[in-house]
Formats: sequence, C-alpha cells, structure tokens
Amino acid sequence: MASVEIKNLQKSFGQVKALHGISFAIPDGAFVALVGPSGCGKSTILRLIAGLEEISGGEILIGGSVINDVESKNRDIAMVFQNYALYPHMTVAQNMGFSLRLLKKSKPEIMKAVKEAADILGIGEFLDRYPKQLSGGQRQRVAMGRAIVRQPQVFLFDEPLSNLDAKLRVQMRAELKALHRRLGATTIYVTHDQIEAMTMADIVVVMRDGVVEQVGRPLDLYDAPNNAFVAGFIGSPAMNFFQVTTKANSDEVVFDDGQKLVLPSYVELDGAFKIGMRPEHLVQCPESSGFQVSIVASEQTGSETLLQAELNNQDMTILLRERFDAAPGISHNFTIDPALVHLFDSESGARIVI
Amino acid sequence: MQRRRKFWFAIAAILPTFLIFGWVRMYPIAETLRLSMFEWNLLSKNKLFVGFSNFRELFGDDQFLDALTNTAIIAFGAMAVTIPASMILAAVIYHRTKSRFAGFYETAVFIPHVVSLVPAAMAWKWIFDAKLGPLNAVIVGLGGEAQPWLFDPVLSVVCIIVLVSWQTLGYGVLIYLVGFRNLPKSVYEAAKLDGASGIQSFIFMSVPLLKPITLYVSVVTLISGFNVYAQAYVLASDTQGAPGRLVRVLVLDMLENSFQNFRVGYAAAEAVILLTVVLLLTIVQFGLLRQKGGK
Amino acid sequence: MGSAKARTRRNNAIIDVLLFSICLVLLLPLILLIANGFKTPAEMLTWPPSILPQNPTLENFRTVFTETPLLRWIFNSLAFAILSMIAIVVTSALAGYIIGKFPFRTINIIFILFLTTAIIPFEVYMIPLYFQVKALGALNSIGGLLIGYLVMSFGIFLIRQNVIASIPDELLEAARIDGAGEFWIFWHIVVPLLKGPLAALAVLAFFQAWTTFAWPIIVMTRKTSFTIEVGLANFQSAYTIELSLLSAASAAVMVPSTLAFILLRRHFVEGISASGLKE
Repeated sequence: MASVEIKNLQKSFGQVKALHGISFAIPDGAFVALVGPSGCGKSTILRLIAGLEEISGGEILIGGSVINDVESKNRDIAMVFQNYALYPHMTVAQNMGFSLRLLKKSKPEIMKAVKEAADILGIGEFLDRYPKQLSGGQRQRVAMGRAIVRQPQVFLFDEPLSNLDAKLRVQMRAELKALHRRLGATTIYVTHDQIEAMTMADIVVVMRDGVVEQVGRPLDLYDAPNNAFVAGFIGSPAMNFFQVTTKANSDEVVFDDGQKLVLPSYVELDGAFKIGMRPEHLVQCPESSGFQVSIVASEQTGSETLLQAELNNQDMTILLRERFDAAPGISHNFTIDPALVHLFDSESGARIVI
Repeated sequence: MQRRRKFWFAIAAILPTFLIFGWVRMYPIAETLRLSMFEWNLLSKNKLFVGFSNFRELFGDDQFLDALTNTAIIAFGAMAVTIPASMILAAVIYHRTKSRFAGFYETAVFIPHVVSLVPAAMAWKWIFDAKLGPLNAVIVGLGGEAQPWLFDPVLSVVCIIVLVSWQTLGYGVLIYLVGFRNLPKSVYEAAKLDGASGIQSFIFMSVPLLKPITLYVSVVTLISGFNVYAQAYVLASDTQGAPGRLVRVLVLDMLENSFQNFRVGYAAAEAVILLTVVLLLTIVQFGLLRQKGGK
Repeated sequence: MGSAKARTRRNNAIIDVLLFSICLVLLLPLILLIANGFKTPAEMLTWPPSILPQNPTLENFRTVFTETPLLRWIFNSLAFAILSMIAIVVTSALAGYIIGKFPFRTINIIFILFLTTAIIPFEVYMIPLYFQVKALGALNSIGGLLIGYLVMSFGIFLIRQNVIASIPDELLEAARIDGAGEFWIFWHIVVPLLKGPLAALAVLAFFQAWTTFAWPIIVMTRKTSFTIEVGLANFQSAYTIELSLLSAASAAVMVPSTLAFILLRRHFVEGISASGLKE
C-alpha cells in the first residue's frame, strides 16, 4: 500500500493541452474518485499514473518516490478498464494468472493466487470459461480479479461500472466498496457519475477542462462547493442558478424580475451575483412570503415530487419530500432557508463565503 | 402487386450477370469435370468416355507427380516464409503508425504485390543469374562460392519460393495491418500493466488473437501458390531457353498436356486435382476456424 | 538511464532505420531493373555487375519502342484492363445490389451458385473456356480475352456487403413511396452511395486484368495481339541475350503502373482489406 502524490501534472496531445498542472495528494489506503464531465482529463490522469501515456510535465509519486520514468509493470499498480479488456482467447483463470505467469511464478503458486481472488469475488465456478461466455457483471468481476491477483499498492478503476445496467451498478458499487475495505489498498476511481463518486469515495476530486476544481470529502463538496461549477456538478437533481443583485446595507437579493429574497447575512454585499439553490432545499410557503414560480410539469414518485418550474422565464427544479398536486401553468410560492443558499461571484463563479 | 414488380425487376437486373456467370464460370467448370472423364485429342470430333482412367494414369505419370511435388513445395514454402514475415512486419509497421514514414512503409511493402509478374520476375532473374547476377557477386565478394541458382533443380525451386514470397508479403502485411487495427487497444494496455514487454504482447496477445487472419492469409497464399505459373515460366527456363521446363509446376504441366500433347481430357483431370487441393485447403480453413469458435 | 521519453524515441529511431532498410531491400529488385534499363549491353556483361549505370543511355528505350511491338502490347493490355474493369463494375454493382436488397428465394439460389464457384481458381477451368472462345472465333482478339474477365465473384460480395451495411431499407422504401422506379432508385440512390466500394473494385479489377498471365498466354498467340505480360515473357525467350533491352522494356511498363498504384493506393487497400475482413 502506498500514498499517491501528483505534482503540477501536465499533459498535451500535440497542440492540445489536456491537463494544466494538476496537483493533489492521496493518503495511503484512501479511496479517491476523480469525477468530472467527459473530456475533463480524469481518465488521462489515470492513464498517466498507469504509465500508458507519457507525462508532459510535473511529477507523479507513488509511495514517496517519483515514478515518471518507471515502466508500468514496475509501478506496482493494477487497472480495471472501462470495457474490462479481458484477454478473449484466455480462460478466466488464465486471464487472472497472466501477470504472475509473466513473473515466472510456478503453476501451483499461480493457481493458488487465482483461486483466492476468485473466492473473494465469487467467480470460482467460472475459472475455465472464456470471457465471451460470461455476463457483463461476471466480466467485471474477472477484470477486478485480474487486478487483485497482483496484490498491487494502488488500484486504478476507469469507469468500471459504466457498461452495466442500473441495478447491477448499484450492487457492484457496494461490492467494490466492501472490497476496498477488505483489501485496504489505495484506490483511484474515475467516473463521470457524481453519485458513484459521492457514495464510494473517501475523497472526491472534481475536475473540469484539465483543471482541478475542488478536492474534498463528499459531503464537504455538497455543503461547501468552491465554485458554481462544483455546486452544479455535485448533487442530483442539479442546483438552480439565478442572476441576482444586492445593495449594500440591504438584507434582500433581487431577482431579475423584481422578486426578492431576504438574506440577513449578506447585508454588506453590493452588486450582481449568482445565487444557487438546491432543488431539495426549496420549501412551499404562503403567497405572502418567498418568491413566486410557475409550474411547468410535476413528476410524482410517491416518496417525493419533482417539479419543473419557471422563475422569470428560467428553468428550475424543485424536489419536495411531500406529495404536491400542482397543475401546469399555476403559480406557487417557495422559499429557502437562508443558511442553505449559496452565492457566487457572477464573473469567476467562486463561492462567496460570509 | 408491388412485391411482384420488385421480383421481376430483381430478376431482370440480375439476369445479365447470371447468364454471363453461367457462360464463363459454371459451364467451363462443369466442362472441366466432364472432360476429365474423357479422352479427347483436340482435333477429332469424338470424345471417348474413359471413366477415371485419366486420374489413374496421372498418379503413375512422373512429369505430373514432379509438377505436383514442386507446386506443393513452392506453395507451402512461400507460406512458411510469408506468414511469419508479414505478421512481424505488420506488427512493427503498426507500432510505428504515428511515424511520418508509415505511409511509405505500407506502400513500399505492397508495391511488389502489384507490380506485374513478368517484369518483377525479370528483375529477380538477373539477380539470380549465375554468371552476371549481383547475388553471386555478393556471395563471391563475401568469400563464398557462386551458385548456379537457376540451373539447379533444387536451387531454382528456392528461387521461385523467394520470388513468390516477395510478391505475397505485401498482401499478408496489408491484411495483418487490418487485423492489428481491429484488435482492441485496451487488451494491449492491460497486458502492458500485467507486465508484458512488447515482444511478450506479440507472442501472448497478437499471435493468438490474429489466428483467424493467419488462417485466412495462409489459405490465400497456399491457393495462389498452387496456381503458380508466370514465376516458374520466367525464372526456370531450361538450358535451351524453353520457359518453365526446369521446375515443372501444375499449371504448366496442364497447359502442355492440353496444347502440346493434345490430351485435353488428361489436362482436365489435372485441373480437377488442382480443384480438389483448393477445396481441401478451404475446408481445412473453415474446420480450424469453427474449432476455435466452438470452444 | 535516460528518461522514458528518450528511451522510446531511441527505440523508435532504431525501428525506423530497420523498416527503412527492409523496404529498401524489398524495392531493390525493381530499382535494379530500372537501372539495368539505362545500361549499355556491354556494361550488362561486366563482372562484378554494377548497381547504377556507368554511362546511362536511353538507347535501350528507343530500341524497344521502335523495334518491338511494345506500344501495341501496352495498348492491348490497357484496352483489355479497361473493358474488364467496366464489365466487372457494372455486373458486380447490379448483382451485388439485387442480392443485398431483394431477398427472394430465386435470388438467394443464384447467390449460392455465385458463392460456390467463388473459390475455384481460374486455372481450373481455363482450358474449357479457351475452347468456348475458340468456338466463337475470338482467339487473338481483345473480345476473346475479355470473356475470361467479365465477372468477378469477389466484386459481387464486396458490393453486397456494402449494400447491406450502408444502404438502409427505409431509404429505398421512401423512394418507392415517392413513386420512383426501381432502375431510377438504383441509378440515382444506390450507385452514388456506393462510390467508395465501386472505386475500390474498379482499381482491383483493372490491376487484376493488367497483371494476368496464364489466360492471355493461351488466348493471345499472335505477336501483335500479345498483352504486355505475355509480350515481355516471350521477349525474354526470343531476345535472351539483350538483357538491357529486356530491362528497359520491363521498366517502361512497370514504372507507370506502379505510379498509378501509388496514386490509387487508398482504393486498392480498401478493396483488398475488405477481402480479409470477410472471414
């Protein structure tokens, strides 16, 4: 097991800069999720750590030593690929034992290691099958088994669940987490799905356009996002944003359509801002208070109600824990606990902390 | 109604091709099979039915057996050279896909395959020339002994194998390149992380994964090897300069029997044997492919 | 130990040098042939042989073009190859389209007949075919030569595959609903969509006819009706001493056709690769 440290990491593909000096550190044994929209560079980081791409600048340290010039096989890492990358011409056992075979381990030794890993993953009965005879979930386990057999210091996962159906994904999520607890190895997990990141990781790294936007524990990202991008990316359904203005010495923020919201703690601000309100934080209120939105559609799932609404011709979503029968076109008033409101700089998007 | 109209259009559109096909393919193929059972001297009107006696005679005919052996040696020899060479060459060219010379490599390797047979064979004939050829010049220069390349029955077979392999190599490389490009990249990345070197990846991944391509290229090379003619015709003239006599090949023997010995039925029997060889090779290929798929 | 980058770069440089040498060796026979075309007859007889001509001369080329029917042979080959190309493209386009999009039982039976004859090499049935040509009195004519190369099984498959892969049924149905006739659909919708594979097939067919040997050598027996391949092969037995002339003639034929290949390489590769993907 080992810590992983990334220092000012840069990567260019020809003229295109994919990573603009990324830095973060992963403590020994942690489960870290790299999350961001596609093309943000998260997979590139993983491939650089694995040694599948050449580093253009900066350093990667595993267990305290720089591994920039170390060959993949000597980096003591194992990777699970998005499409599993199982060797189609080898049985499950041969797939899992391939790395040990290259290390010239004896047959019984390889068999023992493969058996152990297979038992952990519950694929013992498939050892003589070929990948194409397995279901998606089973292939996924074989791919993990291949990684486990090597007993690496660091596990790398590249969107490993994206090829599974929704139900299996939830199940594998729990299994992966349990596996991490059992093996205790440092794990770096790339995903575009913020729910996977939130539910599995100890630390989440949010990325965009080759830059780290925020590193933190899952709930910290939710409660205190650094900027509007992180605020919008973390949480589902996504946060609602509106343009507002405030005046100094006033405890009100004013929406573009003139509606107002009272925010006592922001009394000193002056100018134009972006306000962020999570759908699940909005609550109904009498017509005399809050702000008025017009309902576009409502979806009832029994436990909750999801409303599509408009405020000043701008879309917003509202998630209610109670049943709410709203006819389209009718207006209702909603409000929010001022403590749950986020305010962002309208230029840079940075969150304004009071 | 519409279905009927479509049907008649389909029939009308395919009919010309079908008729030509029947006329220039199916009929002569059937005729080959039929003639192989007859004795016909080309000049007379009468064809005499002789059953399988042409075939019986063939297997006691030294010239034919010589031709069959030579052809088989050339076909398998060329395959034995072409398959490993083209696979390795394709692997290396694929590895350098991003190089700015990649296009040059592909073209250069492929040119021998498209150059007309006869000029290419001329070039090699001079290289192999015993008295004036550069090959012997190099050998002598290195302290070796000049060899009568094209005047020795064994050496001339070797020369023909070299020429045929040189021509087939480009085809093999091209097909293998297609194969390499269709292989999943991530499998190689997984192998790299599992600790495989480039050469180990080639042995443990490429070779088994490309097995269907190898089978295909092998059979294509073998079949074209069994039809070798122009190469032997140009390279292996006998001492009097008569083309192709020193290394008899099947097609040459067939044409000689038909047009010089006036034994058309006998030549047709040879063609049927050639056909049988080709069919056997194809069946073996499909058998091996299925065996792999059925696991 | 240098950086990983430097190591990879060095390895790649070594591979490039190696590949370059291999390519050079593969092209060497052709380079030597061209060089020989410029040598004087006397130089051809020197020992050790020279690689590049000492006193390059154009005399050989003048001789082969003026004193032998080389131009005539080239014309024969060109005419044959172009006509064969046209015939193969037309028959393959029609048959491939019909087989790919008209799944009637009759059509399927015809397809199976095409399929079963596809693997049979030309050499197997060329003798009976010769007698068919002879019966028509077409020996020693381009027409007679063409009879062997009017259709190409592989061409039919190539077009069928592409029709199935790249022409959706809905497109044809939409045209039919709009009232288009079947032939109009073929000409205005199908053919334009098949431009790529048809070009590939055309190039393949041209080169196949251009380089064929066994068939023309039995059909074209008169000196003026030779194709270039047959002409050169006979050249060598007739003028065996004049190696420089032979080389000049070969080079004169080979260089333009090789240049044509380099220009058309993409189509060629596309066509050939399709044959490998079939299995």
